[in-house]
Amino acid sequence: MKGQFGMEQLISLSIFIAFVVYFFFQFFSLRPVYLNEVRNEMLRSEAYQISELLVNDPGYPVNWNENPSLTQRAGLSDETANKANLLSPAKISAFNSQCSDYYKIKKWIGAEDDFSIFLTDKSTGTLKISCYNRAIVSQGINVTVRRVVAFGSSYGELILQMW
Amino acid sequence: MRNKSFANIIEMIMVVIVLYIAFSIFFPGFSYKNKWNEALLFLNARDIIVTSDRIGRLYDYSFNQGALQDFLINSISNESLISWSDTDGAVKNQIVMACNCTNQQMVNLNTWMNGLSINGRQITITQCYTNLDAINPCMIGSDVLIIWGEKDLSNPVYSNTLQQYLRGDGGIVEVADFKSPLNQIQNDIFDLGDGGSWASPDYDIVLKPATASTTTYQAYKIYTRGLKGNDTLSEFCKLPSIANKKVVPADDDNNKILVKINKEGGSASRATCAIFNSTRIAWISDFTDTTFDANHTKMLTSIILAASSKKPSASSIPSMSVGFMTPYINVKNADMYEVYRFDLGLGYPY
Repeated sequence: MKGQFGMEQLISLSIFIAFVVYFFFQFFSLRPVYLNEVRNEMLRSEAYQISELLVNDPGYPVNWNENPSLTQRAGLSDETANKANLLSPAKISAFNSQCSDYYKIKKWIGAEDDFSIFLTDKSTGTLKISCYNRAIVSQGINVTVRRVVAFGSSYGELILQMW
Repeated sequence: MRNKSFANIIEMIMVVIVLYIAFSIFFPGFSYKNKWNEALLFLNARDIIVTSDRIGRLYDYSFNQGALQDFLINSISNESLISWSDTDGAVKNQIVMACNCTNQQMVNLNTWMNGLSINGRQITITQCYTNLDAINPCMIGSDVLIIWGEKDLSNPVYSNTLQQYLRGDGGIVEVADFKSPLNQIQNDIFDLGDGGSWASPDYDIVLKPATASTTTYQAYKIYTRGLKGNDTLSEFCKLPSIANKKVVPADDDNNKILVKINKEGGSASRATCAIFNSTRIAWISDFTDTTFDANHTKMLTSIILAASSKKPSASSIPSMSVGFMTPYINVKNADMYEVYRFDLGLGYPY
């Protein structure tokens, strides 16, 4: 009888193996979902930080728009008024004019992931900023942050998307 | 032997089921929840309020629901959001007055307060008659109760009714001269006391409150900054008749006096004609007993506006799945200085 499996042992072993395999697959199917959620969370955090940088930071130097070649950090806040959510029309214009160089903008705002930035003047419907890399194919937009902002006597919506 | 094997298999299946249930309990299925959408609601509401302020429209949006809705529709792309707003601490756009007055007095109030404007916004007044046994809610709830004329308020029913009214958000304004001695309820509710005998009264003066926390402050600023303009000061403390009782704050607190006779020393200086027991309880002498002018009616209007409820109505909040209210303190200083709280709520219906 030694070295022989009984029917009940065979069945119990099968059930045990099935049970282990089930949990194994459960674990490995959840792992990418979890990692994806962690990445999304980091992306949300980054998107909010960049939106906050654009809306409420004047950039460095504060008058970077006057000489963009010296820009180390781009912010759109009007440094002369120094008020929350009040952007400088001159900086908006300067920022948009530099958008042809996507990687320069990416460096200015300190983005690690790909992004697109749009600013629409809601009073007139005109697009004030259109900043995205036409060469990069979006892999599905993961995060969108919309900010309502003022510039001059007008107001608009700044849309930042990251993926 | 066969039965034993079968029992073992059943045993094993049961163990697996128990293990599965135990694992499900101790290691529940993965679900990742975050508060990103709620955070975006907060961010949206704050941005909308601050941006309204930056473009100089916050005061308008605070009191004009139509203008606010237009702004929200235009400024945010998320169409599924629902919104509501309210103000706290400012005179309401529509004031409902429950008036224990004669028909003529109600007509007069309507005339005097018609076309009222504060800082460029129209204030509309709605009146309804009430007796003092039970205060008329005037359909949507009244903001202020006017008691016009010398009434015998010593009846405990009146006292209870007035106390109950004050436990809400509404204010009480009494417009009366007293020929009879002041009773206890005038003391308890309005803090009115007997000022003694008349001497030789001098001209009237509106007292400037010492601090913004003084009970007369709001009526003072509405009168002097909002309504009165540059008109000269009227006199009505020493009039209409010396047959009337002189009235003073029962506790002799001069901070409660809005208007009094400007004569220092002696009994004459103790005559007053507008007293606030609290920011919501006021008495003014009945100037209609004698000749009166626009300053009298503006003074009464100021007192009514100051005493009226400035609390938001809870019924304006719609039902929703998730929603947040964002408060913001705003200041307006056009023809008078106003400080109030603006609340903007945003939420998801589902």
